[in-house]
Amino acid sequence: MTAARLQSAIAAGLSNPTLLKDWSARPQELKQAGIDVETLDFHAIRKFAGLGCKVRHNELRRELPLSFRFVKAAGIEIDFFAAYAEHLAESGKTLAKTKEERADGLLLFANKWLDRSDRKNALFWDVLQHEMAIFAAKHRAQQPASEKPAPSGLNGHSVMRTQGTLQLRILHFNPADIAQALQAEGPEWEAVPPANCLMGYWRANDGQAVHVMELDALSFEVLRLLDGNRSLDDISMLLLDEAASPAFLSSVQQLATLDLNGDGSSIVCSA
Amino acid sequence: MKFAAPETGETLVGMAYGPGAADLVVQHRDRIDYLEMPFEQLRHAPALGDIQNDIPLILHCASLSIAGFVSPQDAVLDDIDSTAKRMKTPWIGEHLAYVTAEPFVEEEGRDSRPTSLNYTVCPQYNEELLDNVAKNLATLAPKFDVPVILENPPQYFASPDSTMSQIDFLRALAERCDVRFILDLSHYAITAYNDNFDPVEEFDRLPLERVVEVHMSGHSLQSGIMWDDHAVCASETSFDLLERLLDRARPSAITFEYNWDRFPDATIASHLDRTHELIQRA
Repeated sequence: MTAARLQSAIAAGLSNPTLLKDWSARPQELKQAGIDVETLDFHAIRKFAGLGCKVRHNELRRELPLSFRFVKAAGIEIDFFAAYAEHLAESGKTLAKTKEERADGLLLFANKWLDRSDRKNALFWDVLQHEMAIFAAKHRAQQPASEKPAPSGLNGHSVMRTQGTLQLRILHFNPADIAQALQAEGPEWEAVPPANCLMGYWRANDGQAVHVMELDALSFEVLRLLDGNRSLDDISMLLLDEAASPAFLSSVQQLATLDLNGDGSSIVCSA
Repeated sequence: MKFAAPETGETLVGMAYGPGAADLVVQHRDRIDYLEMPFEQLRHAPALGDIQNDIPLILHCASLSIAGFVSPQDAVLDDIDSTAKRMKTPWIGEHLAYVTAEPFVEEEGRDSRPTSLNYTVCPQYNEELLDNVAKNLATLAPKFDVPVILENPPQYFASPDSTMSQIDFLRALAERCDVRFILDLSHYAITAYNDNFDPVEEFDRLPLERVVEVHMSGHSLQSGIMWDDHAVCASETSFDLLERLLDRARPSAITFEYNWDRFPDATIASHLDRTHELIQRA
């Protein structure tokens, strides 16, 4: 074997990790090239491709600090990115150009790859979703601001929508608990209590700050359904199987007057 | 513009360029003498070079593929040369590694372009490679006004074609060529772990008198392999080895590669101060 030929094989395997899988199953192509297959450490080369993939996501570290800290602390960082590098190669994709697209790609892959019956994986999925929602609230296009703020007297015919950027997520662990666990040298994943967290992430029009809210079930569903077309009666029928009651209207009114920014802007406005 | 020009016997302390570098320079003004700037980032975003109005820069490269068999394109060499001249870098740091290789399969219809990676790969260590690196150095070094110094790479897997260890290769290269080195202490510790030798016992076998620059960063163990990790602080072993190196030799620069993540200012301050103290004591 020549040194150049060996470098060609290793570079090809790093660039396209599916080749490594093929070669370990069918080593003929390598043998024909004069490469001693028995001495090639496919496992390490595959993981090395993962390191390369991880480094190329470094610019997301500032957006997803807990997620990156989590995969390292959980010891799945290299495995995760090695699997992602393989996935990209298998699907014929290259790494996306923009930070936003890279983040989306990572989330889609994590959704497929993580076995969420494993607690560690389930925690990672939640912390990743949490940070991705903040990232999306920061960068996604906004619903335009309304010139018609929510009226003080809502009724069943009122039609409302959200303004600014709102992301909603259902999490099974509280991100604050995961962040707390990550502060320890050897995090105890089993000690993070399960929780049913209905989370809202909102940025006001032209605002910088993303407000993170833990919502009650009704507020979460109302925010999910406020689309500028359905009336509050329609939404109440969907959720409670009855026309909007005074209690329901009062809950929506509270959402509409919630002034998170302290400048009079609210999440909900008239359509 | 500010320029790095270490005098004989002087050791500068710097940081690798990364996110928040401008803040770092302001925050640690009295501790940081220079930033080490990756050529590839600068080529992609030339405005990053404006930071040289505030702090000197030293050029670091991952494009020469000095241990490979595919020559870098002339345009890349020209860009490195003009960047080095503009920056007035005292040397050009480069990895003793390859980033490009011939395509593995050259069949009709298949892509015949070389395989280009975005990261450097540790080569095999044998006589053929020794010849190749010496030949590449002899071809490439004269293209620049300043020396090209070579960095020991992290070895993650044993190469089937190797007939010598990394340390023996570095020694042989130092005997054969007038070459200087960047000693990355984390890469050294990684190689020691993955190649199963004692980094402390073997340290004095390195060509320490040829070391111009030292890199300090972290590493982490995953899937049974030790990995380079610039999001982790330099280990105590790295500091011990740095102290030992300073007893034997006087590098011109020590660069902290804490550039994959944001480190607490207190940590950076304490590591830089500790290094300045080690230099003064040596």
